Amino acid sequence: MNTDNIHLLLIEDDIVDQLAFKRMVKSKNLPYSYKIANSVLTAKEILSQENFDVVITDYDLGDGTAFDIFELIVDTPFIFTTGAGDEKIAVEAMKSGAFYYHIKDADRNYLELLPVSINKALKEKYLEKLQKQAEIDLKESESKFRTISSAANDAIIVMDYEGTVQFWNRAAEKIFGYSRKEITGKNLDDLIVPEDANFYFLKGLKYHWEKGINSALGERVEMTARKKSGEFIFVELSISAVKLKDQLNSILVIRDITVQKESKEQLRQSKERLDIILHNIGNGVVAVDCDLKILFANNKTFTLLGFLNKPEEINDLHSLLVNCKNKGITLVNSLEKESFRNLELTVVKPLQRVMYVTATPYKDMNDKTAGKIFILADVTREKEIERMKTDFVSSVTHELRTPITSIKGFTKTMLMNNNLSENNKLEFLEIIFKESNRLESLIEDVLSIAKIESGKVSYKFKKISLAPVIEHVYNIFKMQAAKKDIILTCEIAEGLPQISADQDAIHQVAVNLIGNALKFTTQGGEIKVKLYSENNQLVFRISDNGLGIPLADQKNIFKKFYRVRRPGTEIPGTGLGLSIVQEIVSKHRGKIEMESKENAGTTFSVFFPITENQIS
Amino acid sequence: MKILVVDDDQNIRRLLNFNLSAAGHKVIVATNGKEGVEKAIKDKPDLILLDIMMPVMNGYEACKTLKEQDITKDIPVFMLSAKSQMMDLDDAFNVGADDYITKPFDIEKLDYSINYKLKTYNERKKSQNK
Repeated sequence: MNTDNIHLLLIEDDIVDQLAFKRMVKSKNLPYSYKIANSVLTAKEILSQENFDVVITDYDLGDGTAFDIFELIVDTPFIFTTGAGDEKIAVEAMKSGAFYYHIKDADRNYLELLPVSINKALKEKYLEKLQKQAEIDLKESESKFRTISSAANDAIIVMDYEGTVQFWNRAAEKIFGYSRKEITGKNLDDLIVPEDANFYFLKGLKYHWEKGINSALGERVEMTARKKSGEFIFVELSISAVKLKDQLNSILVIRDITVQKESKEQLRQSKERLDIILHNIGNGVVAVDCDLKILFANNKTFTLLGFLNKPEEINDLHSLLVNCKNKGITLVNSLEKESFRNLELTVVKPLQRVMYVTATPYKDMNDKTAGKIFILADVTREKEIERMKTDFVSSVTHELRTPITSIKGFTKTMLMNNNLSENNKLEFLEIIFKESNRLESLIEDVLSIAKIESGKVSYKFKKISLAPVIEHVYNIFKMQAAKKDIILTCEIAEGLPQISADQDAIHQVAVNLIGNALKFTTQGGEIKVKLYSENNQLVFRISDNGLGIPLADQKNIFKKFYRVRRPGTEIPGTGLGLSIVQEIVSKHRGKIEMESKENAGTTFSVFFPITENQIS
Repeated sequence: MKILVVDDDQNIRRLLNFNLSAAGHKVIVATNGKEGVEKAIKDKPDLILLDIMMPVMNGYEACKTLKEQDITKDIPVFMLSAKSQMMDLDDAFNVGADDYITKPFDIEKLDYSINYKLKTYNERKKSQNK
């Protein structure tokens, strides 16, 4: 407010009053500049040319009254003076907008009060101006806010202290499906906050209230919200508290993040699925970068590479290969070669295992080789089978060639020598005959082993009694035993249950086991064959007091082609009999046990399970 | 010529014994590698026919032992086996075998074959000593 110089217009037709005003200004040394108009006409003329801070006007102006000029001074405060007894007019003047009125008293004391009124008028005018400006500003900012908020993609909601919606922008309408009209004045938590989140929502609001106006920028919260349609969406919410028109309000900015959330969720799910697959496949999967640092290794990798637990710190390939033969140096070296595709890796600790490693280089986004992914497959079993096959072929070859060498050799010998003695002829023919038999049974055994191994043997399981089968085989061997002067006895328990078995296969088991006992029992020995039931099992037991099996050979006797060699004694055989027996027994879900002592005898016990439905 | 036949199969031993004796050789037999080595030291044969797959001590071990000892290292050893794969041949030569005869062999040509192999062996030895 400028108080340095106050520009006044005094409208007064009375010369004496004019003088009194001038004297008063001068005597009080007031910072006034002023003009004086002595009629309505003059006043109008001056007002059309100049602006004044305050106008002081007398009522009766000769050519009119103060009311004639009121319309011209709308923006300027004016003070009204009038003679005593004209109070009614004064009231009218006030109604017309006069700031104040003074009754002219005879002593002109009213002039003493005039400066006070002038000051008051100025102050009021100033405040009014300020308020007007403020109103303009507010309107402008409100319109700005509305423009911005209606253009925003985020819902902007203003609520009062009670939680009643005061403002609801276009995005809010779009997100929640409620129009501004519908929702203004309603309580937000009843409408869009799901029941289960209500408690937290209100708690959060309360928290923001308590923090008050200072929490200009609230934290972001993720929550679910309910649309008008009842559908739930994911939203990100930030609340801030502001003071509007002396009242605390909260402003909610809400963003619909359903799409992001769902794609995030899908991403998480697909990552989880991928993790489950990677960690549960039977192969090891490892990714390394170009410096052989490990980027990923699934759980199976550690199991395959001989770690009992997943190790705490595995940074590079070297630490992963500590349990491998030569610390996996071949693999590490090969990885440096671009051409490397696969190789075998031998794990030595804690158990020897063979891994087949396949490596594939992978590229980064710039198409540059970023590292390698390799897959470890446990081929221990396959290698073992492969080795067994080679051994089998090699053994069969060897076993077949030996009798053929004898047969061919002796035949040729006889053909070459016309003057062989009768003794030699007989000896050689016997050898040829024996070796032919050996060859025949060898071929039969090989064929049956091959059939068993290829799974081509189809057992015909039927409910049968084992007793007659065993008895039949016993009768076959009785003659042979008697010839060798061996006591062969057979003891079969009464009333044994039937079991599900293949008759021919059981027959072969009995032939091989009793035949073996006869082969390895010397003259005057004894062989006992028994069939009985015990602990819900059928037990077929053959014990002899023959040569027995040396301890060193015992663990190998079920292996194909394994034969116990006894220097000085030539006992024919193929080394396949027991493996055939074992195969048959296991197909009958039974088991076979052997107990033997060298030069004391051997006992084989075969156990066949008796199941509930097999009794009866 | 004194020939040591080492084979665990008695029929093969008998076959070789009969035919090599008929060809005028003196034949000694052994039933496994260990016995073979012992008889080689004791009887100092001119040639050893050595089977591979034998109990107690197999042909490879026996050959290695024979070639490691001064007293037997110069006796030519011909491996005699039904094993005929390249790997077996390699193994045989790796332990110092001088030649190889596969089973089944032609008994009529056996003596000729042995003599031929021995001739080759001697020539090789001679050129090595020069």
